[in-house]
Amino acid sequence: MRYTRAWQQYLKLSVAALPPARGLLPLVVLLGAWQLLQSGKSPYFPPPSDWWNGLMLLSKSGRLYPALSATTITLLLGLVLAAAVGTGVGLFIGVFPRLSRAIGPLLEFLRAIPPPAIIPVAILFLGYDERMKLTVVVLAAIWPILLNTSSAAERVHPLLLDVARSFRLSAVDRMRLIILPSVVPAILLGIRVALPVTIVVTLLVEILTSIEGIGALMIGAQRNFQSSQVYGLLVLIGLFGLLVNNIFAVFEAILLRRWPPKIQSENF
Amino acid sequence: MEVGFFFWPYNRALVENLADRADRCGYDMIGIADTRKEAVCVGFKGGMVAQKSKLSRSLAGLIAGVVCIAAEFTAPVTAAKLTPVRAAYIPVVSWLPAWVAKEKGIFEANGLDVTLSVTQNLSVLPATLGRQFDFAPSTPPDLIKAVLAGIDVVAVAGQGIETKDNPSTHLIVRKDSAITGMQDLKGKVIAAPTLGAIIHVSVLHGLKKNGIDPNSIRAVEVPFPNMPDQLKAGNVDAVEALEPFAGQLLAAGNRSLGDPLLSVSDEVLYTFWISESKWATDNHAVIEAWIASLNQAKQFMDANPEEARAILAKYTKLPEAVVQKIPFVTYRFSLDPRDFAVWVNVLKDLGQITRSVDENSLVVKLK
Amino acid sequence: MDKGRLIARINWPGTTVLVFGGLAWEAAVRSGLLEYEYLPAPSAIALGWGELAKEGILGSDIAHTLISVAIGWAAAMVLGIPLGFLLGLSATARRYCLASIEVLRPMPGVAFAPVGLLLFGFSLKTEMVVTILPVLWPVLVNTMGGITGIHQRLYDVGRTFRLSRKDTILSIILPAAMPPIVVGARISLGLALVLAVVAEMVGNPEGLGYGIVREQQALQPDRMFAYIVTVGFIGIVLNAGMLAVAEALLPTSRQLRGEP
Repeated sequence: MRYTRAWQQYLKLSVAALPPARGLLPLVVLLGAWQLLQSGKSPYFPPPSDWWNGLMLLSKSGRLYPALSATTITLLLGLVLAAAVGTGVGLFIGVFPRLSRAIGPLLEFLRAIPPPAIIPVAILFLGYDERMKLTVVVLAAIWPILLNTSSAAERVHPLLLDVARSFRLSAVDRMRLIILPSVVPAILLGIRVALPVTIVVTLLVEILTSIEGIGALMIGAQRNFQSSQVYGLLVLIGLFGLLVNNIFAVFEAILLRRWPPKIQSENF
Repeated sequence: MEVGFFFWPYNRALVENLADRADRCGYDMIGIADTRKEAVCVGFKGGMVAQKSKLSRSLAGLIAGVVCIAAEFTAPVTAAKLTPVRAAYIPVVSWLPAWVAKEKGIFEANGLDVTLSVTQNLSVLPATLGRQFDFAPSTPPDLIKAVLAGIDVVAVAGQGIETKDNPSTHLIVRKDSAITGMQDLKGKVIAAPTLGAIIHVSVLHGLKKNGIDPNSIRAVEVPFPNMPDQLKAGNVDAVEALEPFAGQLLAAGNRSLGDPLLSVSDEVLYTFWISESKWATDNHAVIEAWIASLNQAKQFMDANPEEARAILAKYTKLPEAVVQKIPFVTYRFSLDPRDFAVWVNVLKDLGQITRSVDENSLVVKLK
Repeated sequence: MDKGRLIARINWPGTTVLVFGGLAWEAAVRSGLLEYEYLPAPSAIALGWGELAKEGILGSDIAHTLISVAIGWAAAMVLGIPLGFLLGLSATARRYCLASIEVLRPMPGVAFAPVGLLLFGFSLKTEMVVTILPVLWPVLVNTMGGITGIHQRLYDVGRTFRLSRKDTILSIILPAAMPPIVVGARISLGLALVLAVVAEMVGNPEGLGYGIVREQQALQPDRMFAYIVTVGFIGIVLNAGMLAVAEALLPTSRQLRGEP
């Protein structure tokens, strides 16, 4: 049996988990077509070559990197917080289904209010800083994680719960040894779904309040009628999203590489 | 006795359908008359003319004809010469003359059939000109940036100017604040309605004039209605407000540091109307009618301030108590390219634009 | 159905929590604990809501936003489900498309508002431009995921019975993929509402989103909150409606209730 190093295994897993790069072909073709069709200068639909110039202008003025780092920090912190709170509340709801009935309508109500409507209220309580931005982002990103976790916690296979009872596990041990491991794949799925939501809501808050970040740069460029910068920033956002998604896919693949297969309690 | 009048312009066939319908509804005497522009169908029901006799029908027709001819004579100008014009506005007191002109029929008297549409956001308007709107509100920085970005718009009529005697925007701080003037604002947080807008640009200019580096302050975007709470909570150190929000803030005891727009000049161009360049070149008559209407509206406002305030309340939907206290802006409806040159220099000085633009190209030439 | 069962079906704990929350809010505002010009008490919001309903503008605004949501969501379903099927069934298509989808997913719909305004001015179509792309993704990704997640054993059953391609799709693929598709539709519906409101706040000045902005600028916080509350309730109603439809179509409700 050939001995492979751990990192070689990880690398193989990572490559398998990533979407193939040729998947970018449709977009490249689209951009190419736009470049060919749009020859001259247009104030509203500039060709992709202009977008690069716009981005270069932004980076030269020194505003691009601070904005990028501000958005990234909010994104990462928001994800971590959303994962933590979402998992916690989700587990709680899943393990105590009667509680879920009680706070269910309240949660549904909060979930339905769009972020732009939450922003004025958040601003009232938290002012115009990073905390407010994080709060709105977390409030929006929490739902996929929470729902996924609570549903998985509810559906832990009864056999496993019986095992817990047989071994007379304490509540903490039951949570740690039985419920949590069953729920981790669902949590990761929830985070996977929450990733683009987090990015979008972060940008949305920045666009609507002009708090430092890529969204603020974008709305500023829009108001200055610099469409090439806007499109350039959009491309940047898209690539950024792809990068974040890929990093997470690798992380998930490595974490779950030896996870026990899920016992399917219902029809496949 | 009931009388039904059905007016319909231009289309006799439609009127005849209406006549049939009136017949079925029980109207007895029905007459139709039309001239080149208007068609009238008249119906009478009940009373002494209950019978559908031939005589009564002719009588109805005669009455219809008389009404028609009278209508044609009393409003020949409006029937023939109304040019449709679409204009956008922002529900702020600066745009009151346009509302007055529409409500009091001044536009119609000058041959314009104006449709006013409300919007909250200035910066998207240049894109809609020539497509959805003929006239749109704008401010100097907005126009200059649009023109430099290659958008084909031009200023066609003035609206408001800011003068020392009638300031309408204020930089406001809390009454217990340690800030006494612009020079104390270094490193502070300032709330602006929109970061690229004219008020904020003038604040940055004022800061520079007072020796403060504009990059040393932190600017956040706060909608006007949220400013009092933010100021009170201490989340921001100063707010840039215009009426009626400024009036409310000052009435609540906060202090004004002055009018930021006046840092640009003692009498400075503030708001005006823009149109698409090509449309403006082809429609000088409409623009002149527009300016004339606005001037007449202003005269009406000076003579009838109470009624003007009622119109203000209707269009801004602000509470009555607030509307009563809003001061009117100083209006001037003609434009001078030199007023724009001032703003081009301000923007260049702040580094917000990199090229210059000829101020004469910013204003339409009406002569 | 007798009154007893009806009472049992109402979510008493949930309603109690909501009512309690509302009372706590009211008490906080009245006692001066929460003293903001911009945060009215629930009683004021209720009054504002009544005013809006009486004036009739609430009804037309709700109608406008609902139409916007309906069109955006329907378009997303019409585009997303077939595309999701294609991507789910064909590994080649997935290889050539997945990365592009991941690039397009984080784009905020509101960034397209100026483009929409440019092309369509202040109209419903502008709202569509903002709504369509983001709402497409949950449906598409979930459909694709639903199909790729079908257990191999089911395909084996189909092969054993020598089912034709069409029958395979109808009897095996479609029922197995339905739960995730329905969940995707549910998420898209909620998202369509959010985006329609956003599009109205920054683009087309009509509907509930514009109502929020308009009342805010007119210094009427109680009416503004009335609009926000309305949006929340519509979200709940739409979600509940979708769940009811899902339960009617596929009685495996437990799977649907919690999944993304």
